[in-house]
Amino acid sequence: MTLTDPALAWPALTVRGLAKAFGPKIAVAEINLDVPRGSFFGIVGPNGAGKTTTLRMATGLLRPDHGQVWVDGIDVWADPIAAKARIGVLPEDLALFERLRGRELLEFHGLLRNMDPAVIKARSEQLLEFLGLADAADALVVDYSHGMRKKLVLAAALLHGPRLLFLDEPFEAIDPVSARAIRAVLEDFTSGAGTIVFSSHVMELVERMCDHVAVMVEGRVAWAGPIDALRAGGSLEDAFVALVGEPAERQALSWLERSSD
Amino acid sequence: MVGTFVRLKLRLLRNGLSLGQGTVLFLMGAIGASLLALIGFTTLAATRGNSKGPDLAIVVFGLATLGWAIFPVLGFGTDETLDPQRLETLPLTRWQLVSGVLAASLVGVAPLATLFAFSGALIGLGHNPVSALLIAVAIVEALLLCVVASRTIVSLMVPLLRSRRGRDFTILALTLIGLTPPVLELFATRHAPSGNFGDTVVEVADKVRLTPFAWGGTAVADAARGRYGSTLVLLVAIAGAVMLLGWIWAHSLERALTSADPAAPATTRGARSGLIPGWLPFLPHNRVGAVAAKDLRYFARDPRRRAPLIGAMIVPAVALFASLSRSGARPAATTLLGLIAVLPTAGLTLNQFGLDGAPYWSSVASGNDPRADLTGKNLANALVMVPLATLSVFICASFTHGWTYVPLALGLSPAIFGVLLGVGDVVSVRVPYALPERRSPLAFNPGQGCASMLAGLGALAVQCILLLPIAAVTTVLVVATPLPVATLVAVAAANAYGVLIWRTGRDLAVRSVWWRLPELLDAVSPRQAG
Repeated sequence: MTLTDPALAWPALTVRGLAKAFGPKIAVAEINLDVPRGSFFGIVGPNGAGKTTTLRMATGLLRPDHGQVWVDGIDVWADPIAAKARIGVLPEDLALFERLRGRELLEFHGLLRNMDPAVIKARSEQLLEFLGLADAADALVVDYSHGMRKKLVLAAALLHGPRLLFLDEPFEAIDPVSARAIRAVLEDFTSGAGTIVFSSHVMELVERMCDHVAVMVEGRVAWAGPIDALRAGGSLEDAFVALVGEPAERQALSWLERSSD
Repeated sequence: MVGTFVRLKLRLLRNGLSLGQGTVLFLMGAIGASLLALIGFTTLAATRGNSKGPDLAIVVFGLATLGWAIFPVLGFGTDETLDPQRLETLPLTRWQLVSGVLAASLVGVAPLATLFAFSGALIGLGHNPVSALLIAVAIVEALLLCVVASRTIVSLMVPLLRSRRGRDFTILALTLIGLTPPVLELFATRHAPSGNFGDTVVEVADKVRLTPFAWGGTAVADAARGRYGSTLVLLVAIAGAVMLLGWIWAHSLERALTSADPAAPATTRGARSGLIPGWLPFLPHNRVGAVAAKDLRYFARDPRRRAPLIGAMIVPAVALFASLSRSGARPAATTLLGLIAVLPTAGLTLNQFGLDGAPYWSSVASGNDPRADLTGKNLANALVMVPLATLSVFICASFTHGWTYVPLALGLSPAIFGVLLGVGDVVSVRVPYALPERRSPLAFNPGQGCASMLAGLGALAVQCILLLPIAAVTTVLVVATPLPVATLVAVAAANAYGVLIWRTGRDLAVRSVWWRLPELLDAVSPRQAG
C-alpha cells in the first residue's frame, strides 16, 4: 500500500484511453475520465452508449482492448488484487449464486475477500437490517424479487468497506421504497468520504444525487465535469439533449390524437 | 384466424432455421424425427401378411402417443406457439385460440413424421377398401389425439413449470424417468419369459390394447382383422377423447392465461445457518472454504447439478452390480471394481467454472485468486465423491464378500480423485463453456459445440491413461505380495502419485488463468438473449 500513500493526489478513479470493440461495433472509444475523491459521479447516456462496458472494464471484469484504469493510483489491470480490494461492484445483470440464502451469499462475498468471519457476521446483520432484508435473509436468493436482489448485491458490495463503489443502473426497475433505502445507504457512504460511480439513464435521479457527471454518447465522453457547470441553470435533461442531439423532426402521430377524442 | 396461426408457425420454423445455432438443433431434430418416422413406417408397412402385424401396430401407435404426451413437457419453451402466455394480450375468443394453436401444432416436423410413420399401417394392414378407409380415419384421429393430448398436458403443467419448485421437481422427476430404462432392463433380463420378439409384442399389445394411448393402434388392428364393429366403437371413443381433452385444454388454457405466476414466499423461518455447515468443521473460514461450501450447497440445492450427479452415479452402478450379481465366480478382489462406478462423475470436474456461470463475476470482482477458487471447488467435489466411492465399495463388497479388500479400495479412492481433479482443473480453465440458462427442465446445450465436447472426451481419455499406473501398480502388488503389504504400499504410492497429479494440474491451471480471469468469466457467462 506504500504505493498509494504518496499518491493521495490521485483521483479516486482515473481512466486514460480506454477502448473496447465487440467485432465491428466500437463500444467504448478511447475515453478519459477523472473521478474526484468523495464525489458522487454519474455516467449518463442513452442505451448502448458504452456505460456498462466502461464500468466492467474499470472493475476488472472485462479486458479493454487498450487504455488504463487506476483506482487510487493503482493500475486495475496490472495490480488487480490491490485495486479490487478497494472497490465494490453492483453489476447490471445481477447474476448471483441464487441457490444460496441471502445471509449465506453475504458471508460468501465476505469470505471471498478473506474477511474475518466475526466482522462479516456483524456487518451483514447491519446491512440486512438497514436495507429491509432481515426477514428474507434465510430465503433462497432465487426466490428474491428484483429489488431485493439489487439491495442484496449492494450489501455485498459494501461489506468489505470499499473506497470506491461502482453501481450499474442501481435504480433500474426498483420500487420507491427500495430506492429510498438504497439512496440512504449511498448518502451515508459518500458522507464517509467514499466515492461512487454510477450509471443511469434517468436524468432526474442523476440530477438529484450526483455532484459530477459524464455524458457518454456512442462510446465517447461528450462532456464531463461538475453537474452545475453542465446544467448552467437549466435542467440536466435539456443539457443532455443538447449534447446528444434531438431526433430529426418527425411527423406527429395524428391518428393517436384522433383516437383520444 | 387458423391461417394466421399456421403462418406464424411457419414463420417461426423458418426463423429458427436461419439462426446459426438453431439450424443445427433443428436439423438434428429433423433427422431424428425422420429416422423415427422411417422406422415406424417400414415397421408397419413390412407387417403385410404377418399375423402379428396388428399387434405391432398397437405397440407402435401406443409408443408414439406416449411419446407425444411426454415430449412437450421436456421441451417446454422450445416451441413458441406452445406457450399460451405469449398470446394472452391478444383479443381472441377461446375457440379462436384453441383452433389456432391446434392448427399451428399440426404444422411442424413432429406431426409430419408421426403421420408418415402411422401411414405405414395403411400399406401393411389395409387389406381391402373398407379396412383401408377405417385405418385412414384411425390414423388421422390418432394423430389428433397425440397433438391434443400433448397440448392439454402442457397446458395443465404450465402453473407447475412456471414456479421454481415445480421446475426443480420436474428436473428430478425426469432424471428418475430417464434412469428407469437401465433398471427395467436389469429386471427384464432377469425375468425374461422368452427371447422371442414376436411373442413379446403380442404380450405387450394384449396388455395395453385398451389403454387410451393404444386406442388408435387397436382401431387399426381391429380394422385389419375385419372386426369393423369394434373399430367403429374405438373410432367414436377416440373422437370423444379428443373432444374431452380439447375441452379440458380450452379451460386450462384460459386458467393458465388469467392466473398470475405463483409468487414464491421470499421469507422463511428456520435456523440461522451460516454458509459453512457446522458438520464440516474442517472447512477453513476463508476463500477456499467459502467456495467449497458454496459448491456443496449447490450439490444439495441445485437440480442442474444434482441431476447429472445422480445420473452419472446410478447407471454405471446398476450395470456394475447387475453384472456382479449375475456372474458365478466372484473373486474377492472385484471389490475394487466398486471404484469404477464413481468414474463417470469425473465429467463434473471438466467444466467447473461453467457450472458457476455468470455469477462467477463475484469471484473475479473480489480479487484474483483462481488457486483458492479451484482448491475450494476440488475440495467440494472430493467431499461429494469420496462418500459415494465409499458407499459403492461397501455395496460391492457385500456382493463379493471381499471385505479384506475394502481398506485397499478406500485408500485408493483419494488418489483416483486426485488424478481426475488434476486433469479436470486444466480442462476447466482451458476449455470453459457456458451452460444454457433455460426455463426448460432438461438442459440441452447446442452452444456447447464440438470443440468442447471433443476436449471433454480427450480429457476423459487422459484421465483414464493417468489412472493406469495406479491400476498397474496395485495389480502387481496384490498378485505378488500379501494383501496387508499390498494395501499399505499401494495406498501410499497411489496417494503420493495422486497428490502429485492434482497439484501439477491445479498449478498449471492457475498459471494459465491468472491473467485471463475476464476471459474465463466471459466464456462461462451465457449470452444474454436479445
